[in-house]
Amino acid sequence: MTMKKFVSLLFASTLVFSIACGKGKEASKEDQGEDDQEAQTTTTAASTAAGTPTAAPTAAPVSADAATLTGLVKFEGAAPKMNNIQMSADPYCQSQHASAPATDEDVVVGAGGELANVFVYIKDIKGNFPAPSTPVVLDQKGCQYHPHVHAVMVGQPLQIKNDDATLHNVHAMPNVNSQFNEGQPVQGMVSTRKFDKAEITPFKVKCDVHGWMKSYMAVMPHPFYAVSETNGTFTIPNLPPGQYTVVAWHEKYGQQEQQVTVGAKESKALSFTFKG
Amino acid sequence: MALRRQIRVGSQWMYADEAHKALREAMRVMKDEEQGAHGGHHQSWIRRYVFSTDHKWIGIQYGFTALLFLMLGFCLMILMRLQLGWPGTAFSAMKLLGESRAPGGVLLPEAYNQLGAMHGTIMIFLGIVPLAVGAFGNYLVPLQIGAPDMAFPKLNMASYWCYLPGGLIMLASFFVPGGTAQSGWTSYPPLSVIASAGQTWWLIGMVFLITSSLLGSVNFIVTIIQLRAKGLSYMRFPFFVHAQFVTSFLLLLAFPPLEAAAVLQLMDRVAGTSFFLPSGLVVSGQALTNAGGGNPLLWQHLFWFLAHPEVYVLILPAMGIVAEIIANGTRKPLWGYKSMVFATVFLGFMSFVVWAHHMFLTGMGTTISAFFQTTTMIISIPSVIILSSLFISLWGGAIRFTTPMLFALAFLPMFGIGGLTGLPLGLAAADIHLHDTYYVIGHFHYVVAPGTIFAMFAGIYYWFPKATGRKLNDFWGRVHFWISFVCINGIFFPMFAQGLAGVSRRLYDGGMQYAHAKQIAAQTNPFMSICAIGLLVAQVPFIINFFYNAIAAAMGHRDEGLGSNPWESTTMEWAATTSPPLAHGNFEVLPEVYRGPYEYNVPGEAAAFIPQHMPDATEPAPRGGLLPATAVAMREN
Repeated sequence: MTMKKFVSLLFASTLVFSIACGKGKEASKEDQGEDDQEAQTTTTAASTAAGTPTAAPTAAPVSADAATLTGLVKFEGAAPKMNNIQMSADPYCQSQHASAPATDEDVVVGAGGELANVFVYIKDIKGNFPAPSTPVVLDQKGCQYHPHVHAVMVGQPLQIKNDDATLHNVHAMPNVNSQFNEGQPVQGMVSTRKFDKAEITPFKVKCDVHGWMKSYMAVMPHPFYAVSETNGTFTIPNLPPGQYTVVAWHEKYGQQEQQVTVGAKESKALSFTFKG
Repeated sequence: MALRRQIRVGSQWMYADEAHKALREAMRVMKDEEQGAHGGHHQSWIRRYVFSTDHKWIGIQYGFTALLFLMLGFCLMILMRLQLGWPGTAFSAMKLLGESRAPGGVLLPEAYNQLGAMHGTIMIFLGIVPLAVGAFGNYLVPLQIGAPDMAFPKLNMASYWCYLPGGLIMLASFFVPGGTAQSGWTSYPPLSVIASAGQTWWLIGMVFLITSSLLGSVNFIVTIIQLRAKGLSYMRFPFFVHAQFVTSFLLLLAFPPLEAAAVLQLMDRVAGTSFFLPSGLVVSGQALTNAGGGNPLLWQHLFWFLAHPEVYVLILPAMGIVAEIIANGTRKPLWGYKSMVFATVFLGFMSFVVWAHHMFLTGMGTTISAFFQTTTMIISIPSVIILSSLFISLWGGAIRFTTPMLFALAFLPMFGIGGLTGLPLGLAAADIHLHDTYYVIGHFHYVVAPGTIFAMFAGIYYWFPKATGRKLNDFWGRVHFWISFVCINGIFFPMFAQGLAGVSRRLYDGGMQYAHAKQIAAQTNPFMSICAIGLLVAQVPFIINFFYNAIAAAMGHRDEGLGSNPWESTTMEWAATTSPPLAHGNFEVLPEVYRGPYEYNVPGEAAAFIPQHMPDATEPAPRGGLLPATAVAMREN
């Protein structure tokens, strides 16, 4: 065999190989396209959901007798002053808060003493509740997490988005589920995660690049939970009638419990007060 | 003094009793080997090509495997350079890494760490060391010392079969959750201990690789001491054999501490011990619940106690190869051969007392730093002796600019740049600024890439006819050389400027996130990455040239006009046997050595070169009668 023959044989086999692989690639491209589309649709849906952080997922069949639990979380005492966050380490982050510096979100108290970011959930409900396929979105924007406190159900997709033109890394630090630590170097990156075990005490999700970025999340076995909004209110809809322990958890002030009994189609209001 | 009868064996004259003895010995070795391998019957395919005990085939196995790993390590580097040149850009090549590492073709920072750790590990432990020692050493040392095989052929086989699983374990770690090891090829704790599962695979792989090196090194030492041909005194060794001899001692003595350290780190990861984890370690704001009391610095000491001698494991065989080719290509003996040999031995000793110059920034204290910077300055002396001798060897030579010679010549200035840029790093004061910058990357890559790897290419072009009976194409060899030479400098030279400007190494975006580094990174990184792609393209002619000729040789197509000694060499691997050598026992008759390794153009001699195993030409040529007493006396002297 001469060198020429060898080279032409090599070319021919490369050609055959690339055609064969090319077909495979096309196929995988199509799959990829579908995935992308799905990811996009879920992202949009989730961003709407993210606007209303108190709305609990509603995948479980709703009983006609379902009750609704509403409530208000108040803060007693002088609200601690939240420090400004020093973002000068990353010029991009600083530029996102040029008009007013961002502040810590440990204790967010409204004008009337309402406490936000309190995670309220039913502690002792039994049953099998399927996870909705609608993803929950954790957005990184302006070098802060949005929302600051939230939850997903076991098996429900969590979409983590980077809306910043800087590197973020999402370091989730659960105690029961597997930890993960993932970088998102490019603006617009989205990654989807699922948790396979319940972890009802919220754990920290932080960014190892920007030390000030942190948020808390829980992994719930059921859909009966909510997070108090800036006006301190929360709503847990579609709750089957019964007697429950309701827990309110705050990242700094710990947790409180209340017993509650709800009848069919009843709407009951609760009140929690955290002392500073 | 008794007079002894001589007989003619092939083209040379030998004492009859010695010739018979050598023949008996060769036949015994062949018989032993065959019986040992397969009970006296002809060898099965598996024993011949898979679990072979023939040093030549094991050398070829090592060579092929190591070249494939070098290619893989090089491809990982190409991906890294794509990322560094154009950070955050989506490349379809990145998709090969999978969605978890490069979603949509955009490389994630943690995947960059994986590429970095695996590039270093693969290049050093799976590429260069196996190629330099396992392939060249295995194939050539027995031939150059006139031995029928290695002293322990089965140990030799075991060495390869520890190396291959070690490499496969490293490869498999690409598929474990969390990916490969990502704590650098140095695997510094505590980062490595808390890293994902890939690190455990890395450690297990390393245990295999270290075991392989240990088995190989013991074998080399025994072979070189015990199996050298009659008359082959230490000062008649080709320089390559000296280089392999010292390298084997380095492997034997330096690797065990790392093997121990790897097992300790494995314990920290899987058995909950804390050899390297300090008390009160806080990771991402959470205190670890380990027992504590360990010391991360212990790892650094154990690691660098291996890894500095390892640097010489990488460079000494390369120097050996270059010395052989330069002597052959200049048609002159090596200038200062003896000082080169003593420098090599001294280098070997000194390499064990310089390791902590990698650790000036760990706060060891100025006394210790002063000690290690002194030893580091001292160790530069033997390196300079060797390099200077090689340079001076060129003086007045009738240089044949063949492809292997081009690579060997390029090695000299490239290693020179690599070595000299290391001096500032060996001084504690300068190292404060340069530590962990691109300057360090530039420095050691000049030593091992255009240094060692060019020497490996030189060796491949030079000894390819030995192993196959075919020469690699010279034109494409030159194309390979020139493009590689230009491109490789384009990659590594700007690194010195980057490092002096303070650009840290191991940054996934090449420094674009830092104000002080942004400008120079933007100016140089795309150019360096283009050069890296050029270097990749330059390897295509080599790969085609290599595989075309290797396949043709395997199909039995020999280059008929080539002869067994195409480079007109004096050393025994060329002169005393065929190309390729005999499958069993290497030589028809075990050669006897009468002279030094590089007798090219000896003044007063008619022959242009006199092989080591040729009896002294000044002796009256015996014709089967009795040898005059004077000649016997000369020989015995």
